[in-house]
Amino acid sequence: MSETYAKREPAKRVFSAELRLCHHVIKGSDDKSPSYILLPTGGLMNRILISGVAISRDKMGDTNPMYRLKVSDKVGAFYVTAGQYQQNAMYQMIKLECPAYVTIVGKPSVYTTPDGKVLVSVRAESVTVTDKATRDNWLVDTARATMKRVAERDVSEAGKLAKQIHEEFQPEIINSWIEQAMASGDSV
Amino acid sequence: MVDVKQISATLEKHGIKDYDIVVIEKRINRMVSEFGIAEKEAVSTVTRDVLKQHGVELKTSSSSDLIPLRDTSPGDWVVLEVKVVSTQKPNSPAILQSGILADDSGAMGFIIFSKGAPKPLEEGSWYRLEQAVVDSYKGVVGIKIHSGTTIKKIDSKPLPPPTIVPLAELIPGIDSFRATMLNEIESSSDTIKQSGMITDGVSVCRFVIWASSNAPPLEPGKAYVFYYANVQSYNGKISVDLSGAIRIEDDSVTIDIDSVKTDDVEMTGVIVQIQQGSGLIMRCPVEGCKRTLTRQKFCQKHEFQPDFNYDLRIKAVLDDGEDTYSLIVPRAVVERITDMTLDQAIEKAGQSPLGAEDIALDIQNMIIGRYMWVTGSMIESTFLVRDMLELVYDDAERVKLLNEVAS
Repeated sequence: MSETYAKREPAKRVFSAELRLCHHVIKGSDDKSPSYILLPTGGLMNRILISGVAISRDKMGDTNPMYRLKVSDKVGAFYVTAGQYQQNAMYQMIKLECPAYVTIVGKPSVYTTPDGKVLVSVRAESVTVTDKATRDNWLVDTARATMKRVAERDVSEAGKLAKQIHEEFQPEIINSWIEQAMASGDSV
Repeated sequence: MVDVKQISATLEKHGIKDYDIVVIEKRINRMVSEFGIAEKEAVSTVTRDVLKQHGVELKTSSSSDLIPLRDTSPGDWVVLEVKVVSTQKPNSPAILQSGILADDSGAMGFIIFSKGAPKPLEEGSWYRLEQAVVDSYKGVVGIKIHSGTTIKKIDSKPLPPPTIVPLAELIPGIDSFRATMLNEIESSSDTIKQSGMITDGVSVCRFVIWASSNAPPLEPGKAYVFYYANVQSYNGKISVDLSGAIRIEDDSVTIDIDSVKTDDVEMTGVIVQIQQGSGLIMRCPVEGCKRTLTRQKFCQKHEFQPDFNYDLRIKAVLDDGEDTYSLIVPRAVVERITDMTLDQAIEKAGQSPLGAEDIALDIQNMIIGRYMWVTGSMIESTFLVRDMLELVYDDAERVKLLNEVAS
């Protein structure tokens, strides 16, 4: 049984469209403290919660294989990876028969390529087959969480930073995300 | 930074001139960084070692030196100048008196053994004690006064009021804090005058007042400051004995009880992790003991128990996006949520070599990533679940959001 001294970081509810816009990482003061990704809507994310439909799975690499899952949340798509250091998640990914409703808890990461391109992906901690109800609960939860971050953007520390770093971000865009997420029908 | 000047001074005081301070400093740093030894301890050990190499043996304790309470360690024979802040009639005939001593560095409990004992100490007086022993009992450091201890009454010295600490920072020993009573817990025992939970507005902990003491029960709604309370560890949780503590009513402070979550909390979140110790577990069969056994069937209190009792429980993390909570889900709720009884789990586990692990994995696949509504009592950030249900999706929420966004 492990004793945790630092409290576990909560998993932020974020739409794929918002994750795609992230590029700024705030590193902790030393090796041991966690790093955070700045959310354009105004928040600091160390862990993410995703629920959607797993559409396809790719295997990458041969000697130390890594699997990549494309997950749709009705607004866009996430790329979720799991390799030898995320063994349980990797096994779950391999067992999956796409398409399937899945919920993923993981660590988002921002990677800048040598030619300046920013890639965002999620390293899975857990991949679990759930169902439509869970996905729908997540859509409502994420819509509300996103609206709350935007509402506090002018006063929260992270919000003020987001206004600086994500100057071009127009908060009204979340309305179109929410419309897409809340549209009825099973369009994936 | 290692104080090399002081080490050099100590060595030269004993007439040692041929030593390599760089090597000494390296040894000390190695002890601290590789072995995690406290610097003070490492310096003392290495210095003593160098002296020994040169034929100098130090006395193991500076028995003629006055020492502040805070600097004592178990095993020391000490000289103290302290005030007796409270005394108690003990339960055992082997003990003449117990109570609490304080000096300007801190406070500590004391015991006087009956055998060949000196006279009991007077509450409120200052004494110089020589040849008292410091020892540790159940993790708590205390002073033992015995037939060989010299006791002399001395003039009062200035004693600053002790530091008030938050309840969250209490560790076994003597501490002072602000608190108000949160609730009373009925006790069937005659030896307890009052027991329950107290809070300082941020955290909670258990308290007890023994029937044998003169201390009156706490009154609800009153804010107190408690000085020199006995902090103990009970079942792994902190519990304070307010029987001997000095108590002052503090009208200047209002402690907000409502901000402290306790019984009957309801919340919704996603189960993000199932922790070790979930699924099929073994419990100690000894009457009154419900401790979880280790993999080798070892009970912390009753040692090896090959005839254990099975139980089913889940330790999980509930995450609502802003905070995480540790849940403990008892057997009845686990059986309902997983649709598997304890007997079915035992049977299933018996069918494969790592059966209990299979059960834990099954539980993981059943509940991780799902939205749950939970109710129960929250004690010190641990949620004891009374009931847990998967959150039903309500389409009205979706429609409501669409309307909000359209406007």
